[in-house]
Amino acid sequence: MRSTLTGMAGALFLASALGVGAAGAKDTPGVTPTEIKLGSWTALTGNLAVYGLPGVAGLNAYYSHINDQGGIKGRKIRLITEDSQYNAQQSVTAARKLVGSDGVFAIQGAFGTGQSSAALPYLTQEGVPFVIPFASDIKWFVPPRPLLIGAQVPYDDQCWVLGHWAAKDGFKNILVIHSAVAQFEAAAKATEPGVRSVSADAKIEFMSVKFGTTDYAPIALEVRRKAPDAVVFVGAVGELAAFAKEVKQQAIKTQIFSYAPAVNKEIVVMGGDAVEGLRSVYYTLPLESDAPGVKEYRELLAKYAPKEEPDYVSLLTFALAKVMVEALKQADEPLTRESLVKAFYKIKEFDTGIIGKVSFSPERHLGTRSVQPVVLKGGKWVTVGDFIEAKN
Amino acid sequence: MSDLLPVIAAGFVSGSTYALLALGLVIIFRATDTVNFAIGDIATLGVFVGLSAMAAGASVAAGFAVAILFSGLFGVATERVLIRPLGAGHASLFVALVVTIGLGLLIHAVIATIWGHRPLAVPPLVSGSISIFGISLSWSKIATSAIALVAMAAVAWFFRYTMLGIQMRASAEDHFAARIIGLRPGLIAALAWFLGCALAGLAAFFLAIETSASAALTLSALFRAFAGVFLGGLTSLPGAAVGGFVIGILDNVVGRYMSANYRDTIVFAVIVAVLFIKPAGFMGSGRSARV
Repeated sequence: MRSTLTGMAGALFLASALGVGAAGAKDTPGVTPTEIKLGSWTALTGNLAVYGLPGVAGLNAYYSHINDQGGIKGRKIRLITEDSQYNAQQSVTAARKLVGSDGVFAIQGAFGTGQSSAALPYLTQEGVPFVIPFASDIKWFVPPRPLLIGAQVPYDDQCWVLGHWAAKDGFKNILVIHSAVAQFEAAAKATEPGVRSVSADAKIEFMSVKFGTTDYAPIALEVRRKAPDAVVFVGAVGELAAFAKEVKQQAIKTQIFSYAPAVNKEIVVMGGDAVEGLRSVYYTLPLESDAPGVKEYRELLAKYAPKEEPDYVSLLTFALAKVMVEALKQADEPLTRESLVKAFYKIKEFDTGIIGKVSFSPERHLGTRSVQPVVLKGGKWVTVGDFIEAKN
Repeated sequence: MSDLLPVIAAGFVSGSTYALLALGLVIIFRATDTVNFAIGDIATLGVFVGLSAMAAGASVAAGFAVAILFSGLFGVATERVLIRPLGAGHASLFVALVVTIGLGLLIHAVIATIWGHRPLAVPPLVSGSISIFGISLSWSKIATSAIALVAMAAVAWFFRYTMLGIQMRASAEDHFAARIIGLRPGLIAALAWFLGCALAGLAAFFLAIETSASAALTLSALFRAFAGVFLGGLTSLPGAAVGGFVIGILDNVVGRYMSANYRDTIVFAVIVAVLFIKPAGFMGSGRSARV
C-alpha cells in the first residue's frame, strides 16, 4: 500500500515536473521524426580526460551501431558532448548550453558525480531528464526523484559488497582506509553493514587519509602496527597504487580490497607487481570476457572508434548506452520526456550482457545494485563468482 | 614512538625530492629574481622526453641523462625567450611569475597532447631494497637521497669555489654592480636556469620511478618544495635544501603519530609559526625586498 502511494505521488510529481499536457510530441525539445538529440558533459581535457574520452567513445560506439541499423523508430540518436573539465561550474555551463541553446531531449552519460550534482537544480527547474549518467550517488535515487534515473552502482553499494565479500572469505580484522572526502567517507562507512551481513564479530576500524596523499610510508607503518588481515581502500587510484607499493615494500601481509575506480589498466602501470592479487568490484564483466555482450562491445568499438583501445570505462558507458536505447525503444509515441521516464519503468531484468541485470519502477530509479567481484591476476582482471547485489 | 627512526628515515628519503626541487627554485630566484612556477612542469616534460628516448632504444641511464639535460636546456630556453625580454625590476618580477604559471599550463597541455592522459611506467635505475632502522627502503629511494646529497654538495662547491659560481653569487647580490665590474648577466642567468631545472629534472625522474609519469607528476612535491623554500629562506641555498628535508621528515612524523588526514594542515601550521618568529626563514637573509 505504501509503495503504491509512493508510486502515485511519484507519478503526480513527475507529471508536474514535466509540465504534462503543455507539451506534445511536436513541442518536445530535441525530438524530430528523424532525430533524438541527447546532451552530455565530460572531461574532454585535463587529467580526468583519461575517463572522459573513452567514456564518450563507448557511448558513441553503441549509438553509431543503432543509427546504422536505422535508429529507433526511424529516429537517429545524436549525442552532443560538452567539455566540463571535471569541474562543477563548467558542468552547469554545459547544462545551460545543452538545454538552452542546443535544445536537447535529455541529458545522458554525464560524467562526474559532484560536478553533475551542481547542474541538477537547473535541469529540474527546466524539466529535463537526467538519465543513465556516467556517475552515481545513492542520494540521487533514494528517495526516487522524478527526473533522475541511473544504472551505475554507487560507491556505497560497492563498499557494502566489499565488506560482505571480505567477511564471507573469513577476514576477521578489517581496516578501512579512505580519503578524507565526504563522498569517500560515506561510501567507506557502508563496508561495516556489508561485513555485519556475514559476521557479527569481525573487527572493523576506519582510517582517514588526506586526499591527494602521495607519500604512504607513514600510513603503511601504521598498518603494520595494526596488523589487519584485510584492508579496504577507498580513494583515488594513484593513491591505491602508492599504498600497495608501500605495503609490499614493508612486507606487510594483508589482503587489499578496493572499489570500481581501481579496475582499469592504469593500476597495473602505476602499481606494478605490488597490486598483483588486488581484489575489487566492478560494474561490468572483465574486458577480456567471452560473454556475448563484451564481445559485441569489442567489435563495435573497433568498428566505430578504431583509435580507442578497449577500456573499462568505454565498456561501462557502452552498457549504459544500451540501457538508454532500451528505454527509447520502449517509450510510447509521441516521444516526450514523460513517455521516456515511463518507458524506464517498463524495463525489467534487462540484460546488457555486460553489467548486472537492470530493472526500474517508480520506487526504483537505480536500475542495478549489483557489482562483479574481480581479482588482478597476471596483470589482468578476472572474475570471482557472479555479480553480487548490495543489500545496503 | 618505537618506530620513530624508521619514520624519520622514510621522511628523509621523501624530503630529498623536495630538497632538490627547492634548491632549483632558489638557484633561479637568486640569479634572476624569478619564482619559477613552471619548474615542475619543465622537469615533467624532461621525464617524458627521457621516456621517449627509452622507447626508442636508449637505456634507463641514458633516458635519465636525457631527462636531466632536456630539463636544463628547456630552462635555458625559457629564460632566454620568455623571461629575459621582460627586463629587470620590481614590476617584471610579477609578470615573470605569471609567465611561468602560463608556461606550466602550456606544458601540461603539450604533455597530454603528445603522450596522452594515461600514466606511463618508469623503470627503476636500480632495483632491490634494504632495511634501515626497521623500515624497508628501495635502493631507488636510497639512490634519490644519495644523488640529492651529492648534487647539493656539488652545487655548494660550485658556488663557493668556482669563479663562475662566485660571479653568480655576486650577481645575485647586486645585478647592477655585477654588470659594472664586467660580469655577464646573460650567461649567469642561463647557467642558473640550467642548474635549477636540471635539478628539478633529477627529482622528477626519481618521483616518476616511485609512482609513474603523468602530467601532474610534480604537483604535490612542488607544493612541499615551496614550503621548504619558505621555511629555509627564499634566498638561502642551504636553507632551501634543509627546508625540503625538514618538510619530508615533519610530514612523515605527523602522518604517523598525529593524523594521516591533517598532516598537511599540521605541517603548514608549524611552518607558519616558524615564519611568524623568523619571517625570512630560518636561514634566509631577511632582505625585505626578496620576501
